[in-house]
Amino acid sequence: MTGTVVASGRGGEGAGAAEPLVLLSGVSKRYGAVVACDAVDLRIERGDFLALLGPSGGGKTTLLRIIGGFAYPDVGRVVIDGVDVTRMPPEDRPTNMVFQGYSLFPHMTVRQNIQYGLKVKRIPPAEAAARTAEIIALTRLEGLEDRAIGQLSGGQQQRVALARALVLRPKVLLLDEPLSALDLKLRQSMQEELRRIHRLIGGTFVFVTHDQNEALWLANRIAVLANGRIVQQGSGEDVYGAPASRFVSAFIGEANTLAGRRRHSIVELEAGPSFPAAGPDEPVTAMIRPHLLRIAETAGPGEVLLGGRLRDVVFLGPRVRYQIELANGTELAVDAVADRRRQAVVPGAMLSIAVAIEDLLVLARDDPAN
Amino acid sequence: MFGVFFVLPMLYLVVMSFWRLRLYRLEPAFIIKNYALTIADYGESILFTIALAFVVGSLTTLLAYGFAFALRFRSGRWGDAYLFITLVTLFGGYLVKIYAWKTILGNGGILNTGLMTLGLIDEPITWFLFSPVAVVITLIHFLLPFAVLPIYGALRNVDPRHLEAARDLGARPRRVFRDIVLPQTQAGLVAAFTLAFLYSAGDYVTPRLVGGPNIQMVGTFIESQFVQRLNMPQGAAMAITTMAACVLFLLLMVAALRATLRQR
Repeated sequence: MTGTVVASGRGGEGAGAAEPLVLLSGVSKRYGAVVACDAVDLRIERGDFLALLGPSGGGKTTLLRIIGGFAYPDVGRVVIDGVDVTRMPPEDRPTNMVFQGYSLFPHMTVRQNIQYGLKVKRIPPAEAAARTAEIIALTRLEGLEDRAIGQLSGGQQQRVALARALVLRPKVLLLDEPLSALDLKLRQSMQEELRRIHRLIGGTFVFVTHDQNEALWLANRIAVLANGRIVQQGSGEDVYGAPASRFVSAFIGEANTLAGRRRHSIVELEAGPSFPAAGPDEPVTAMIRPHLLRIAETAGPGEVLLGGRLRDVVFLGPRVRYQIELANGTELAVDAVADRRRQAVVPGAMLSIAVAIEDLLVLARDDPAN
Repeated sequence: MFGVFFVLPMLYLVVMSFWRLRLYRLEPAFIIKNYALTIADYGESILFTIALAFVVGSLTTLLAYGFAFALRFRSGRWGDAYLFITLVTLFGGYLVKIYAWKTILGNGGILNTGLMTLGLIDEPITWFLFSPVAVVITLIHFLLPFAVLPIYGALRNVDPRHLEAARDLGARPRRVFRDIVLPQTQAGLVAAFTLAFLYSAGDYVTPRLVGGPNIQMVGTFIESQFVQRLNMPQGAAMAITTMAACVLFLLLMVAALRATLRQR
């Protein structure tokens, strides 16, 4: 394995000064006229469970492949554990990938698939057998060792692909849309499995998904990608609660957007109400999550009222969604818990909706990211 | 269908191999003299034929695999065009190709004049033509497109993502080929080799035209039994023996191949 060691030793000042496990600096990649990655900087710390989240074509899979060695960046560097691996082929990198579609070898059994990497690395048979047994127990594949791949269900194949990668104890485990092929129930149980395994072995996982629920479920850090750029990184709470742009607010969770104008630190919404919000004079968008709105006759302290006509009521199981059209034409979605206390309302009725001022997120409207 | 057009004629041939020829007339009988003669006089030539067919089969399969592999994994947009060209070459009949090689390999042919012009040899090499070498070259050339097709078909079914997965697990390209590609293309390999081997073993036109006077391919002898000596029982016995020997050899080869490629 060749590669230049970039930095050795750690700063003794504390966690913030420690070298990240994976560092991408200025990584750019284009395929013909399409820019897949645009000057991406990314730090991945040891023990992270990082989600690369974004719409299709946003560059997240390309980034994952660059970390794994299946694509080389045009510009920029990839450093894993202090070693520059930018141009290193995948067989030499301390990473392993769980591929979309699993890519299990069809002419081998479950055990042979899992042991393939160990065989290539010439791990002695006794140690190989021990590690295989350990990983089979971890991924709950007991009893399936000698099955042919074609005889496995989707969920079982997923676990074999995971076992095959984890048995090699990679420094970074890469997962490409790991749960996208599974039905809802299976996806939920696999999410719990992945969380459990990650906590148990304390490894560093990076996965790609376009499903924001999956990202929130699994990851302790989320990097939102669009058009090859990271538009926001942070914990699930950061990205959901304090989205940096209208795009992020709409991509993670649902968002109502209300147009308005800020003047002298007062925002005046086109829908009517005004409220204080510090910032420059400019056109703004106020973002509010559907579940933070309340159907109410009067506004409580720190709240403003919006008025409109109820267009539709949709029962969604744990919640009820009210689709409301405000006086100025803006559409509003209000989610309420579907319990016995909910009001009986009929489409066509005029309603007023209360919103707490501190729940409103004010974003500049002219920001190109919005 | 299979019964009428294949099994019945075969049965007839088997039955006839036990008959005798008396005064240029077929006489039903049950003698084993034909088989005894086959083994005594032509046994050596059957072995030579199988050896030559093995060489042709092996070289053809190897070249076909290389070509099919490049076609599948390295040709990008031109893959379909190359495949089309390969298929088109099938349309040139075998006689045309044999005569083409006669021209190329002869004393005044392109190969010899080229080598002499380059100064590598002083006199034309005579054993290019009218020798086993010529038979092998001509047969390989003719059989190559036939061998490419089953191998290419098998390679199409190999998912490139499996190759990526193997590399991710630490395997270098040669290892990836041996562990992932080759085992999944076994059927195509066997089909290609069988085709090339059997065709070569039974051929009598190529040896007759470019094989030279001393060529020992049993196909030519069988032909002369049927056509010149009108000794159909003898010819039938030789044909059956050759078929049996070829099938036996083929089974051994395939078993050996399977054993080598089995996952450990």
